Amino acid sequence: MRKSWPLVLLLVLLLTACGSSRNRNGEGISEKDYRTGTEGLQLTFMQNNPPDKVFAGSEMDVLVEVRNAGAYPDTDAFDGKLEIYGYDRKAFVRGGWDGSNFIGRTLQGKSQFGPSGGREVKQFHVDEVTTLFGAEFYEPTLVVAACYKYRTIAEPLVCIDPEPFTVFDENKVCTIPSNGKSYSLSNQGAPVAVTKVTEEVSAKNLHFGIYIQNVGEGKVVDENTRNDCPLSLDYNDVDRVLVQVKLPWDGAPRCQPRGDSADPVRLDESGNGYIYCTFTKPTTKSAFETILQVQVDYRYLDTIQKKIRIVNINR
Amino acid sequence: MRISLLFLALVLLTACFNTPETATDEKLHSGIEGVVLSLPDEGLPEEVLEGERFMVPLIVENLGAYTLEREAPGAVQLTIEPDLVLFESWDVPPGAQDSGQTVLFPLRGKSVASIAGEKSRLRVILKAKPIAATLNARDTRVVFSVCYPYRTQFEEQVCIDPSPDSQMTKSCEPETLESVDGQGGPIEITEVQQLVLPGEHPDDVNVQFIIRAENSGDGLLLHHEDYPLSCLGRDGSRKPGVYIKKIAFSDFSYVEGKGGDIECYPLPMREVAGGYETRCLLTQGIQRSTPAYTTPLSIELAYGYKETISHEVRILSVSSERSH
Repeated sequence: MRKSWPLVLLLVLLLTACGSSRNRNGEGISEKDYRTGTEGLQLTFMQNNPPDKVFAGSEMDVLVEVRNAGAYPDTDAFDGKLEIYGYDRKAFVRGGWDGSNFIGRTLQGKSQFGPSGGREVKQFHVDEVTTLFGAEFYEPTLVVAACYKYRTIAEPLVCIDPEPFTVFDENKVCTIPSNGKSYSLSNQGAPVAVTKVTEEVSAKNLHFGIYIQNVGEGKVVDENTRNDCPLSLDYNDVDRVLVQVKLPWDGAPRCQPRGDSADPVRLDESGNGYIYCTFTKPTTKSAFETILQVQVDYRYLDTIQKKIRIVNINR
Repeated sequence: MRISLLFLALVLLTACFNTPETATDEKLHSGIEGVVLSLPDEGLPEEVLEGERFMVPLIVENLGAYTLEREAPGAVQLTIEPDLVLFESWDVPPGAQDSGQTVLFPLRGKSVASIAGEKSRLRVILKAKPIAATLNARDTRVVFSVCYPYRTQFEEQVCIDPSPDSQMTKSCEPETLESVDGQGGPIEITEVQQLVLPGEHPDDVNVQFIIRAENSGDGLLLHHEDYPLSCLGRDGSRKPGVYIKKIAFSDFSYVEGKGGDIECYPLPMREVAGGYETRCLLTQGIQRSTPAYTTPLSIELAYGYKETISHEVRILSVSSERSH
């Protein structure tokens, strides 16, 4: 018994080490893949802010909870802002954001160190609401829009078979059928997702078709519209994403469209886009599996709305 | 003790059930009637003897949303056949003034305190003149005309979108405002259409409203200041029709006689098929980059109105009456 107790102690220590552990903030550190879901930011009006009904002459606050429900960024690099509109500015006297309408850079996405993602509350304060020229009531619909930079990373495991039609029979790790191979992907923790990848092998090259879709509730906007988003967007600013595709041995494939700022991938009316990339083959002739890294960069525009009623009791 | 409690209970119950009906603005500014004349069922003479005095009662009721004030009252004008009937006097309520065959009266319209407008009862005392000896009877008509200034007020929320092509999520969509229930006056605004026109500056737009109205009552249009002359059968110097007294949205406005940053043309409203039309243009530009927003729009029309009612009375010959 005396000889066995160190072993028991060691066993206990090992078991507790393998159980759930916590970081310095007390949050659970999870092994779960956090790159899931179709959301970027979640916006919510805090209860009664704004209220459904407010009397003319009163002050009013609009409190918006901003939660990063996606997987980007994993550092203090968040870039986004809120705008509020939909009301006659003459009816809201001295209205403004508390501090700034820019969202904090520390609003990180979900990660193994923060499975819920970052959270922030922004306040828009109005000193006095009115109904304009003494009207009995005024019912504006307040819109709060968040325009923010986001990134989707998809890393499907693909089969690389440089010589799919070899005469010699070998036990391949994976194969590519003669008419190509298709990989379906699940969401990647962002409102724009890579939904499918197709692969074909030609004599000299590997060809990948990458299908991209807007799976969120909002609008995809060109990454370079930081100042124009959301109030000054025009037709040429929407439904454009930048795409980079890499294999470990080829980081600069030939793609159509190119996927850069000059030639971005355009999403159609249903939110679908496509890019076709041609890679060089690896030096090895054996089949193997590897990660195809797809990175999609864009800005995203989410909105929430609430109708309020301003009543003039002095009429 | 029990009787006291019962009495108290009765008082409380009647207080609950007899509360006067109050009105919201929506109920006040509805309907297509203004000042209405009617003849009561009782006390209306059908036949009178020559030489006899008789009384014709008249009810004047303001069923619209505009109050006729003492400074701009309504006018009831009596018209009779002077060969057959002689005017003697009026019996008018306090506040009304009579002068010859004309009565000037203020009359409250519908209000928040009372959904029903004010009702007033006038009586005119006439005398039937002798008729020709060869006749047994003569029919004559007693005609009352009411002429009054009135206003129709239209208030709705309107969506202003300076940049229809913008890709941002909008809080509202501009649409043509239509009204079918009237606004508490015989002239009703039936449609307000909005146009966004290029401004003088490339970054600005001008908003224009096309306002359409209809005469939904049974009367005639007069000028809202010259209306008493019309009742007396004379033409005024100003053109009868529907005028824009005031139009306002956001903090832009136009007021008759003072102008503003909205220009309306033509005034009075031009007659078109089915009604009247005018265009009101905001002369100050709105920035194209302004997001779409909802704002109250208020339009007040001013006009004069005339309606007529008549009653036929048969004057009987005395000799004919005796023979009966």
